[in-house]
Amino acid sequence: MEKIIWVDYALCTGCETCRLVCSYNKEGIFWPSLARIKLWREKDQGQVYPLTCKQCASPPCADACLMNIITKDPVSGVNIRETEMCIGCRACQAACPFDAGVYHLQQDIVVSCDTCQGEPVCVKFCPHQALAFTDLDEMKRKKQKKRAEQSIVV
Amino acid sequence: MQNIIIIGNGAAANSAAETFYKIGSKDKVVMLSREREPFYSPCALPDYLSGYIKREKLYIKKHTVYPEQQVRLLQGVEVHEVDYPGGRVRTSQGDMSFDRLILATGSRPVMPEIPGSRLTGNFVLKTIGDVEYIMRHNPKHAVIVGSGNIGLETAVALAARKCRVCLVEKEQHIMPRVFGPAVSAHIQRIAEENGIQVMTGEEVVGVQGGERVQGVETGTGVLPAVDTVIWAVGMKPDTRLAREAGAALGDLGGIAVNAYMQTALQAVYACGDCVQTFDLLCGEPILSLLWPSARQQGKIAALNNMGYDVPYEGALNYITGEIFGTSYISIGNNVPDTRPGSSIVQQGGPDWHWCYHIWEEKIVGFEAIGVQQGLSAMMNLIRKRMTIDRYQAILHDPCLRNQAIGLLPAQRYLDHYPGQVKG
Repeated sequence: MEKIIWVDYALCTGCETCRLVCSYNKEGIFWPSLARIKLWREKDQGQVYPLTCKQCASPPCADACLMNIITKDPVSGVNIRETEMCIGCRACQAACPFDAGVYHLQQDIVVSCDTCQGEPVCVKFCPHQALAFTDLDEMKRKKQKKRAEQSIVV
Repeated sequence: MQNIIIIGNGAAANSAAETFYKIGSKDKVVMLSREREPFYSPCALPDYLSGYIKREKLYIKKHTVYPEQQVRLLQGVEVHEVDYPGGRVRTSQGDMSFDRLILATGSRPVMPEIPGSRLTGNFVLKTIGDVEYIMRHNPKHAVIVGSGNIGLETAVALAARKCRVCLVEKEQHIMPRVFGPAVSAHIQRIAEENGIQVMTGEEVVGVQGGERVQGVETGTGVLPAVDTVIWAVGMKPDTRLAREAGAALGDLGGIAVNAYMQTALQAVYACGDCVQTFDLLCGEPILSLLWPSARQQGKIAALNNMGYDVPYEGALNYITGEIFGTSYISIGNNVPDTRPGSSIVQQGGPDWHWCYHIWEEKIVGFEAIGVQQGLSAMMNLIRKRMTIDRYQAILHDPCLRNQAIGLLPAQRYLDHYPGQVKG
């Protein structure tokens, strides 16, 4: 089963640690706008929503890409970009239903999460465990367990 | 094992061939290509013309990828005729038999028959060969007729080659089918600031010159000392093979297909620029001569060809681009609408503008320049045909919100919707 980064929105405080470590891991610089994960701050309720690549089975970004550089890795199921061929047209960014494409200011290309070869640093460093790197089945089990714990009346 | 012939080697044809490979089809797939190039991206051609990217970077597939994907590619093949009852294709390299056929013949640029349009120095821009003809001609002063996406991008590319460029548009503002007047005015301003002359409301009536192009006659005057004319007035679906084989054509001039990309003939499918499909938003027939539509249609054609029952959702036109560092985007239908129940919400500043079109409480079009955030959320709203009420309901319910996070960044635009109660 393919693993993706799951977000528990109830736990996210918007501390931006994930963005800092992501940009440092990928670019060697602490610059949140180069991170492959975004935070959408809902302004009225003050809630924060991390947005990152969901590794769609049939990615709309791959259909949109004018250079056909987005392919799915058959083993890990990660959507990989051959960024050296990217012309920076940003069509994939608009096509993404999760707003996961990140425009790389310095190189004029669009990048997205590649799950750090199976060991995402954002998950490792998230101080509140709001991010998890698991597959769907495991996520379901976790959720069931959490619900069961909540409903136990002593 | 059956023989499948795909006519074409563009976005739709390759998307179909890749789908056959991915699903693991046992059929024999043969692609017939008129050009001698492997699959390249025509959308990147203006970047090649300007010198921003090299020729190698245009190629999406190498020759070796075709055998890896179990596709036999025959290049330089001109298809003369499809003998439908006999199940054969007559080509310049002999006859071939097929069990199922996919037509992805694409489109051809329109070249109007006016005086002088056959002189040396008249060009169109569709293939890699066209770009290289233009580069060899080395234009010094070019007139580009038509300011659609191709016209504008070519103008920008030629300006980057230090060529004097004049863009002539028949309608009152540039990119009339993609943008409304406000965003288009911004694009025109940026183009003019960077030395591109823009003439709107003008029609080219003739090209002057003896053997080579020397001037261009417009409705109101003459543009002198012109050495190049590039025609970007539109594309026409290439339907000759389908028509001669007996497939029905649609009213707009494309091959008529159903939602499964089947033509009127059994076992003949069509996809890409050559077909007439329907709009995702209102279901009206349209010609969507755009890359993402072609790729999706190719996939749908291949899946149905293999016996999977997958309907096409309809074409949603969207265009993204960049002009001298300012990016623009157009999604859906942005031609100002006069139907009852339609309205426009817009905001703008000196160097940015966004605007969305509403019809029957739904967003049917979005256009923006110089704005970067929340674009994919707007695209999502348009694609989902969501009403504004429904969106507000999602926004104000924390549980629903968690399931529709991709839509949330559209809030910055929808807050400007009149009569909006801030929650």
